[in-house]
Amino acid sequence: MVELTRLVQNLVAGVSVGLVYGLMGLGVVFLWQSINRINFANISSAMLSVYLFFALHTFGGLPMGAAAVVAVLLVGVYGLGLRYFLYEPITKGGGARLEFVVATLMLTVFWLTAIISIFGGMPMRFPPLFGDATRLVRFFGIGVRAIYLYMIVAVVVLMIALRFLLRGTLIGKMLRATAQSRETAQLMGINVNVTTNIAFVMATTVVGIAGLLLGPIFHVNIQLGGGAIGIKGFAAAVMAGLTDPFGAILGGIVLGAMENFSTLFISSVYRDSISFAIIVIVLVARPKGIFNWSSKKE
Amino acid sequence: MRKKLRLVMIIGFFVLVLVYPLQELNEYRLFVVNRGLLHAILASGLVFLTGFAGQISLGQAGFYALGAYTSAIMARDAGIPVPLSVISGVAVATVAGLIVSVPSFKLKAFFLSLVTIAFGLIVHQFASNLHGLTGGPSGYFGVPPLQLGGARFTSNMHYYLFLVLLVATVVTMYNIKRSYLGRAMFAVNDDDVAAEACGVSSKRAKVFAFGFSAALAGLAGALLAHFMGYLTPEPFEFFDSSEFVGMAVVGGLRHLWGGVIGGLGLTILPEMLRLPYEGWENYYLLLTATVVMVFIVFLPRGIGDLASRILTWLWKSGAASHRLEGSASNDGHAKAGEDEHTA
Amino acid sequence: MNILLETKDLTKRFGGIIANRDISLTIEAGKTTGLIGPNGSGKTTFINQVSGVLPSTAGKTYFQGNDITTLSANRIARLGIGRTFQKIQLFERLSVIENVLVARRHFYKANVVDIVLNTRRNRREEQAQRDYAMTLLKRFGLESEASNQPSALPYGKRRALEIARALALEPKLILLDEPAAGMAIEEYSGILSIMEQLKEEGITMLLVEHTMEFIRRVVDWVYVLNFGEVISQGGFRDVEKDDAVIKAYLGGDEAL
Repeated sequence: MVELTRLVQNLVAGVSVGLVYGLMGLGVVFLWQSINRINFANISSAMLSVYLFFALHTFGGLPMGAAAVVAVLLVGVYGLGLRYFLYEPITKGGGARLEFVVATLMLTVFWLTAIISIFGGMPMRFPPLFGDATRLVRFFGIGVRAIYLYMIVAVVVLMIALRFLLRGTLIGKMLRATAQSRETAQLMGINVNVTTNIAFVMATTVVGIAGLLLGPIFHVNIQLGGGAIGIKGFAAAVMAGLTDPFGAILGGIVLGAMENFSTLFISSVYRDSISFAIIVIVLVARPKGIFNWSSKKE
Repeated sequence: MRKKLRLVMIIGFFVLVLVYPLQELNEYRLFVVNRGLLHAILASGLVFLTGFAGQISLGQAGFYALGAYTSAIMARDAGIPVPLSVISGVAVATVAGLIVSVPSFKLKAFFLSLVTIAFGLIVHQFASNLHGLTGGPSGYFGVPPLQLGGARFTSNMHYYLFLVLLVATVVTMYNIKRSYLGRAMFAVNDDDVAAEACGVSSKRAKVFAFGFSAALAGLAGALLAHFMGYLTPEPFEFFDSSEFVGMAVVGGLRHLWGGVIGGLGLTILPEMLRLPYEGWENYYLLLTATVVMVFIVFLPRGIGDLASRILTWLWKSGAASHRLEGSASNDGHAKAGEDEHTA
Repeated sequence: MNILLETKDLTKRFGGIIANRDISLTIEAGKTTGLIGPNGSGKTTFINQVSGVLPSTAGKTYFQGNDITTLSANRIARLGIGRTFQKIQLFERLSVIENVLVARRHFYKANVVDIVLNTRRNRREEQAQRDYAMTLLKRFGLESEASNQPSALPYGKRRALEIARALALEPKLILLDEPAAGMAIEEYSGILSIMEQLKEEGITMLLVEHTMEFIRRVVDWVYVLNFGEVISQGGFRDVEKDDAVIKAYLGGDEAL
């Protein structure tokens, strides 16, 4: 019998890691809504922000907070680069979805090998951006690691900010209109070019933030740019039918919780296999997603 | 004059291909070429799956691994003769391909690619963790080699065997392409509703395409196992799957020879560019990735398309188009349905 | 009376919207049946239901007395129901003759081994099928275009090719979804003569059409759909005078 304390601890850990998966899923949703493409290069954005942060702090001498902000900003700018150096040329050259998929995958391979060449393949200690991440915070006698609380707070704050951005500002209205229909948005006088740029920047930025939040758990590690973590972001987005930003977060939570409980009850070795099997089942059973409220009804 | 030039070129090419290993003194280079031949078989399967049938697989390394480990285990642990173990490897990969094809009935493009990615990752994880069966990350050693008359295969023999199998693969694909099976696949790729209205089962076309491409990946894997003599999960990762698709795309998805060009080219070229400085041994992977990206941006139809244009231009005599693809519809393939094959 | 196809209370619902409600009609063998109605009245949906492209929500379809309601589209095609599409759907990556050959698929007997080894049996069969396809193309005046891409054909010929492809199934019934749409009289006269020919050969047709002149010339019996329901049926002349039909067409005189 698993004791209650461990159950709660696992739930908290699962939910908070899941929130971060959801954040990565958000990146997928933003881009899908804007250009109807899946950007596999965004798998590596999490890794890029962590290594940038590490380099800026350790070698550049920037204080941790500044290094983190600069790293996330740079990753956002990198999103713009993705558009103008990859997406636009491929589209102009007559490339279709598959070409975009392969090119973005190759970009991920590029960054992985570049980082191995520069930093070596060994994990390095993540600078204590969140203080002592492993320290236990007690709630009703149950100790929860501080990092998980940081994750939850960070994602919730981001969600509130996003909600405000999408619902309460002009930019949000423009983004939502573009997501509904590019053509209609254009007719309404919305500058689709600008909203596309915003979507690219937001997509990489949220994944960059996700990377920093995962840092204390995964350390400065190329694993952050590997297939497994990126796929979980995609999975969260798929559960939201690729169209619902808040559904993606919920999808991530469910995925994270299931993952943690499968570790607890089945086996930690096949944890990823179990998540992937669940993804396949969800895809086959409900291709439109589970947590999908924003797509139009038939 | 042009006819003579063509004859000289063709004969010259064949002689070059046949003589190459005899004059190659560098054992490592021949090893790389042999790996390239295996990649060419595998990438041809992806040309078949994606270029012909319009399906996508980002988990081809999974079939590759299944073929490799099955053949290795059957030969070493079950003790069956190597040719039979290779066949068993192909069989297991094919069955997996048939199973993976089922989600393709409902799912397209990105969703299908996620399923195949998940498949590839699951196979990789099992290969890494079933220590008793696969040896885990530390490797599976002592795979019995291919033999001829009691003697182990030399590098040259491997070369000729792989070459024959690659040619057989291309000929098979050519024969299927011009048959009713090939037409059915092209039709499903173009417009599955219209294909169904013509009495073509789109499900059967997809099952066939997945099965065939998985069989080729399994064959390449099984041969790899006996060629290398040991296996680790390393060459079967997600990024290997994406590199295989990269090979097919760079070679030319709509071209019979696309897989051959991409598979050999993207295996051999980076090795030639490998830098001998410490810390930068992996630099060639950066180059591979860059080469693929540049090719996709500047030559989205692949080298095969470019090559066929150059060759057509070289000999404008009547038989040109026949020689190249055996189909007059070649150019149209490239033109039409540009966005359809994954959509 | 020899009934080839019969639908009983065939219904299609998209979410909350009912596209077709309880459509019961019969198609007599050897006759040409027309299906008319204002835009959005459910004609194309009906053809999609009968040909298996869309699953029906309720009701049954019988073809030669057998229930085909739940069969897949390709099974229905092989049973002998060919069709064309409102918006022409050709295989653009295949040549003109290959487009026709796709619909010959189930007449081939060569197996995978024959194909892979390209046995004599395979070659002979392929030649025979190509000859058959060529005769079919000749009938439609497409023989000189056999190895071209369909995208190179003018609109009228594209339509003709689509009908030729449907005929390659050697169907007992052929469903034509607006074959004359977007064509002027001189353009569709070719299609018209093809249809008259087919009729003489005894091929049963279901024709969805807007062009009344076209309908008048070929149909033996007409069903009128409005908002997914059959509101009238009969010979063309009777239906033309039906008040309900005139009302459905909003004043009527403009369309009829």
